[in-house]
Amino acid sequence: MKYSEGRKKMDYEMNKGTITNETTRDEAEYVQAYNVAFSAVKKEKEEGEKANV
Amino acid sequence: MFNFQEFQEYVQMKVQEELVKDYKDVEVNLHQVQKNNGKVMHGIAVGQKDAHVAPAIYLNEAFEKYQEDGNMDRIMREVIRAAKDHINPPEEYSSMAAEFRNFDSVKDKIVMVVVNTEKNSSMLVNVPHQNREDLSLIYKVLVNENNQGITTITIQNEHMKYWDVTTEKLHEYAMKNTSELRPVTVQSMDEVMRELIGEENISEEVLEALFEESPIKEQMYVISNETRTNGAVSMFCGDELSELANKMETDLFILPSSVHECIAVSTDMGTAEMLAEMVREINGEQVSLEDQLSDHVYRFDASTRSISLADTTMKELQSKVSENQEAYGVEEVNREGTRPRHHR
Repeated sequence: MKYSEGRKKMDYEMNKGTITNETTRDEAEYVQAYNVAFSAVKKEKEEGEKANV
Repeated sequence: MFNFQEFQEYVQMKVQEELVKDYKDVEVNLHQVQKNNGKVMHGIAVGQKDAHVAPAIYLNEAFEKYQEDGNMDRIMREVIRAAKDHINPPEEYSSMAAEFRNFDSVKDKIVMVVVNTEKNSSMLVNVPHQNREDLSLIYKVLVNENNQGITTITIQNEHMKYWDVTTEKLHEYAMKNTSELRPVTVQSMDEVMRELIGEENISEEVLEALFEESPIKEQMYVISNETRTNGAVSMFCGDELSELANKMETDLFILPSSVHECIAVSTDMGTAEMLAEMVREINGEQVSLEDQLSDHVYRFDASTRSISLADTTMKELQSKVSENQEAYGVEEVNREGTRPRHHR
């Protein structure tokens, strides 16, 4: 389930406030983007360390 | 074509006309709700006399569809169907609304959530909160949470007044309850990726080959809660960050990936500025505006167990906000005359 597909449940108004429903979500695609970006950082770090040796 | 205000009023009138045939005491009102990061949802609330709660049908998306194809009949069918399906609210919502005035009924259900202070400045005027660097902790009453999702009510200043409690008191309950009711989860990024790929029926051998275990210090850790909803607040709860830092034997950088989770890495794995650039890039390209938490990176100091901004300071941020407000103030005056009436 992509995050954008969630939140289909109804909210309810009460006197001075809102009962808000949010649906459970799986990890969104941006979490994977962090994984990719961090792998690049690790690789760069490893190469830097090798060059210093 | 209707403008948005006319569209809402038309829907309100038509829903009232239709529902009054079946429900004698129905009352359809226009209303609006402020969501995270300044997003405002407009719609109708469909109430019955003496009911404590009324379903809210938001019309922002319906108006977008109407602008695309002008098909008002289809929109009315969908809205009336939604109103009829939800006009009788779940029993637990009615009882919660009835019990809400009694602090003793809600105090053990108060939890906290973290939001961006600047982007929620207009909401924070009406909501008790505590600031943490460029973020604010706000408080909610947890109505229900299960594997389907989470149901909450955001606590407002008005509630705090009739309960006759202070923000400090709310915070005290929220710290205790959040750890108990919404326990912190810590997963390595490898585990998260394995879960995601595992859903695609890939064998365990292939997964083993794909995810060769990295040393703990070289991994990212996703910090959230079991439902992965509004879980970034977990960075302020429990001992998990401290335990993680102890295992790594370093401080941590915390990347605010969204309001739903954050990501922790060892401070040996890069500079705060470089990681902040990563956060800005991913926020800009992949995270919806409503879910963004911050463009800045935090440092968790293992010795003091405290969290502070790492790539900037509050002083720097405040001076940027003042500059932007000055520039925006001038622009706002110029733009006011050109905006549609219902947006003024």
